[in-house]
Amino acid sequence: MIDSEEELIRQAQRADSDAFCALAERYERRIYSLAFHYCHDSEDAEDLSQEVWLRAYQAIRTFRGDSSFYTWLRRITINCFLNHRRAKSLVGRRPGIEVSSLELVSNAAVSSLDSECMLHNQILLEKVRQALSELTTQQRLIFLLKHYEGMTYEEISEAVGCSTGTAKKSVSRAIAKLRTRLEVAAGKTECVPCTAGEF
Amino acid sequence: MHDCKATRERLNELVGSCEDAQLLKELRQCEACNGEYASLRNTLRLADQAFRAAAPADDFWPAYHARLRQSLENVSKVEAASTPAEWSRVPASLLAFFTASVRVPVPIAAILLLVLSATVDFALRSRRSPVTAPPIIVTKTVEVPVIREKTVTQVVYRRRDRREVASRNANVNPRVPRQNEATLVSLSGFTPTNEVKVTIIKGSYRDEK
Repeated sequence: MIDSEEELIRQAQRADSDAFCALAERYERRIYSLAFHYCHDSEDAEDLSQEVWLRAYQAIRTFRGDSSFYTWLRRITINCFLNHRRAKSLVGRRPGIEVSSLELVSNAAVSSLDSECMLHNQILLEKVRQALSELTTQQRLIFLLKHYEGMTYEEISEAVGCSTGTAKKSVSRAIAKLRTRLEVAAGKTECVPCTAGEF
Repeated sequence: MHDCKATRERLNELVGSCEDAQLLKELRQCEACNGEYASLRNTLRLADQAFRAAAPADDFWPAYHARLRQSLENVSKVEAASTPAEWSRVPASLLAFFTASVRVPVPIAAILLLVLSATVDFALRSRRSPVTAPPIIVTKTVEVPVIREKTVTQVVYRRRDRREVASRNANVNPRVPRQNEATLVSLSGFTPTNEVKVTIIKGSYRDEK
């Protein structure tokens, strides 16, 4: 059993599919979740994430270790998402509550929660999905990269191919949509500003 | 001076980073901005909660892995089929040798490039001005003809009476052509001798006896 990521990468670069699958297992949940929030559809998310892994497998010989493997993989992911947007226009698509997405809530994850909490999460998820579906795919991608991946505006603008101003506006617009959908009232001060960088 | 509008424009950047100490200080002093900031944080916290709740169940992943493995095998087969026959005959080690690359730090690469360029420059300069052996000095005497100029002075004497006769004839008969002038000049200078010496040449005429 190979544990080292560098060794797995070296094996995968020699067309070892087992090593590549082991590598994929480390990041598949993250990539799938990103794809799911981008697509708003579990089947599309699975197809998109599988495409990301296939492209990564075909291109892994070009990985030279200049950046971390996940940074390299994330760039492939963004390119796949942008190509997916061009190939299949999702703009204006407003899916309703999708049963499959609600079924995605992990039973194991909510085993300690009561049914009320589970229902609360499902409603919350649907509101977030509705808020994000009101954005363009680029705005949605930028928001996810900022608040799900923790990328800086400069990194986002370089990866997506837009200006930092556009990236900032996209994030601002996404937050405004979320605030409206989640019905978070302004002026509530129950949250004390952090001082040590925790969020 | 606290500016609520300017502060709220920067809140989106602050949410998620909490790195701007000055902005945080301003938020503590302004209740309205602090409430806005808390609202933004609550919004994103709820979004994160929804994202986490959307994680697929554990029984989702085996089928996902199986599909991924099948896709990888298909890709490998397609790549193997599309590989040219020439390449397949090339030994893998040789192919790996020619496609191998070495990672070199930028400073070392820059130094190597400088050394290489200096070497090429030196080689080119030495090629343009080749080093030759010192010249051998040979002393040789060569006779050079010297042209000397020689000045020759010739004095020509002319008789004055010729000019006087000519001028006289010109006054007497100015219409006489100039070609007769030479004859007159030649006769005027003739002086008869004192002794007459007669020479008879016989047989000059036919009827001479």
